[in-house]
Amino acid sequence: MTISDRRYIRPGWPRAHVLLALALLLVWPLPAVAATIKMATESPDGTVWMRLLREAGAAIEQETAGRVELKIYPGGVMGDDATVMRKMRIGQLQAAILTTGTFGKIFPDVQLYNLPMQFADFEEVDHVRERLDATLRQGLEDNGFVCPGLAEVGMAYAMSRRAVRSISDASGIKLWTPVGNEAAVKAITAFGISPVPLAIADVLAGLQTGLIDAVAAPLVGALALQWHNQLDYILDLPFMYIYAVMVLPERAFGQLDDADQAIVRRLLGDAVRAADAGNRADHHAVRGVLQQQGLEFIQPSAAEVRQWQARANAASLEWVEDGIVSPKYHDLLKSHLEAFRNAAGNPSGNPRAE
Amino acid sequence: MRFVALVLCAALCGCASLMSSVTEGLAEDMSDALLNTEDLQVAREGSAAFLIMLEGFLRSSPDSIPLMQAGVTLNGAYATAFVDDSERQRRFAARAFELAQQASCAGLSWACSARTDHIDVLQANLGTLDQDDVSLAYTLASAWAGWIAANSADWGAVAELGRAKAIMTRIAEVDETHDNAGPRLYLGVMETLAPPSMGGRPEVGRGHFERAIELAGSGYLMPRVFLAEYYARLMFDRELHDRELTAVLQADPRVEGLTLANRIAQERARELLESANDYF
Repeated sequence: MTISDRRYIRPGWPRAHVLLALALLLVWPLPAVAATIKMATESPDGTVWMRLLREAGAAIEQETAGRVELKIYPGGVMGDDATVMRKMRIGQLQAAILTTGTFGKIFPDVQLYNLPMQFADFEEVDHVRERLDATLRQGLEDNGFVCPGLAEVGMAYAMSRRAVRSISDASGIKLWTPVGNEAAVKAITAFGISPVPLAIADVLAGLQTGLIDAVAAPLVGALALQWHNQLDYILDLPFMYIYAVMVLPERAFGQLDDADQAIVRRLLGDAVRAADAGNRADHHAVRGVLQQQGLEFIQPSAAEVRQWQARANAASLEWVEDGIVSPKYHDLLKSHLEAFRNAAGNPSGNPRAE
Repeated sequence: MRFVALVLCAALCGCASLMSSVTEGLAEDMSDALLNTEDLQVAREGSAAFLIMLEGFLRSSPDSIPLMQAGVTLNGAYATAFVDDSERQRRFAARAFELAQQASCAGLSWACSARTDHIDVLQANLGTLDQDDVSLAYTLASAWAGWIAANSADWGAVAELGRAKAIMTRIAEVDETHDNAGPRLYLGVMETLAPPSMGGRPEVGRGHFERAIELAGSGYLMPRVFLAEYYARLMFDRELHDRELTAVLQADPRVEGLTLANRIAQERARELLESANDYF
């Protein structure tokens, strides 16, 4: 029984049967009926994410004395993000971990941290997230989604077969973008680069055959998918901060009693935070491994960084003009970054070496 | 990463061919008896004794390629089949990989620098791999995959998966039947580690598993367990999952040279069926 069908009455039942059932419900206290939260995620079974979610599920079941059960559907078996969203709308699913772009029409501002090249390093990310995560989560809640947390996937970097240091070096590269990801296309074309849309499963073959010769992706992803074997250079300029969002539609979540809601929020929040920290540690570890594997991190000059950032800022303003991010949230991000950079004595926001 | 059963399978199935090259009659007899044993407890204890014996042989003949290959096989099999502790598994996998590198480097010039060459150089070298090289190359690639599986929390190890896969891919081109279609099984697992949205190619993986089932024949149960564990679980295909595993449990495991592997396959099939309600 899912949260959404706890009070479901089969239409074929005879009327008297229904009345009797209702009478009994009025007389007797409601039995403790287990509610199942069905959660979809792209993460395959066997990953750290899945281990954390299963541990959270076991803890939820224990702390709610079996009233709430978490059932996880890993590996994208429930379909792509748009399909998962539809299944949540019709009550087939009660939770999901989704990419930020999925909320483009519901609460587009949740894509705020995706603005290209806005963060010079993870210290800036942490400073901003400490101050704005709660606001973004509230924004999702205001739009009908309980959000236990945002989980870092990583910082995307431009990685290529030939050295790319400046914007002029980048002209002519064949850079992969995920099929159907308009935000990524927009971010990349802002730098004068023509993106090549491909399914993620075809990227390795694309690199091997020369269909593409560059990707912009989190370091961990590039290594896990073995793309690093086909790449030689990494532009050491954080291109885009990537993260996922855990959500539970309020309509279903609200059917749990208050105490169980608090337990689910807390335990899922703990799982997301643990994943967040784990992914950060992985990023740093992978950076070292990629260097050992012979990939060269290219340090652009200050002038080249300024060129990249000027284009990125223009692209960010385009996101605002197109309504991907609202002026209010854009300005909030900028003000927090400015305050941090001034305090750190780095008003230009130049990247610091990791 | 879920390579555990894979390493186990390849290691066990490799025993026959590798052990036959150990000219010592005692070793051959022990190998045959081990592969045909129906009792997992006896196999566990016998393998441990066999391992020590092989290390002893290797002290006397440290340059013997067949002995090194036998050591690779037994270390890999023992760690995967009979050791639960991950630290111990890593030690056995490391020993297997060490011997595999020594053996392959002694017999294949390109193998000495397979870990450090640019992948393009490795790919070019693999173009020269022919039937005579298959056994040693397979020893290297399977031990490498086993070492990566045992160290899957270490990104440095994960980074080397593409190299092991490149070698296995070439072996499958030259002789897909080697080691009871072992190259197909390895490639099947490698393609089903992630869903398509995360870069996996489960349908390609399924093709490898089905080809392995076809090549190895109905007497060998491990490929069907793999199809269920790696493909059907990834794709949430419970019907396929339960059908394959039920068939494995109903099959007679006693097949010359494959009895132990089949017993282990049935054990795994039972575990997978028991946990199916929780998973699906």
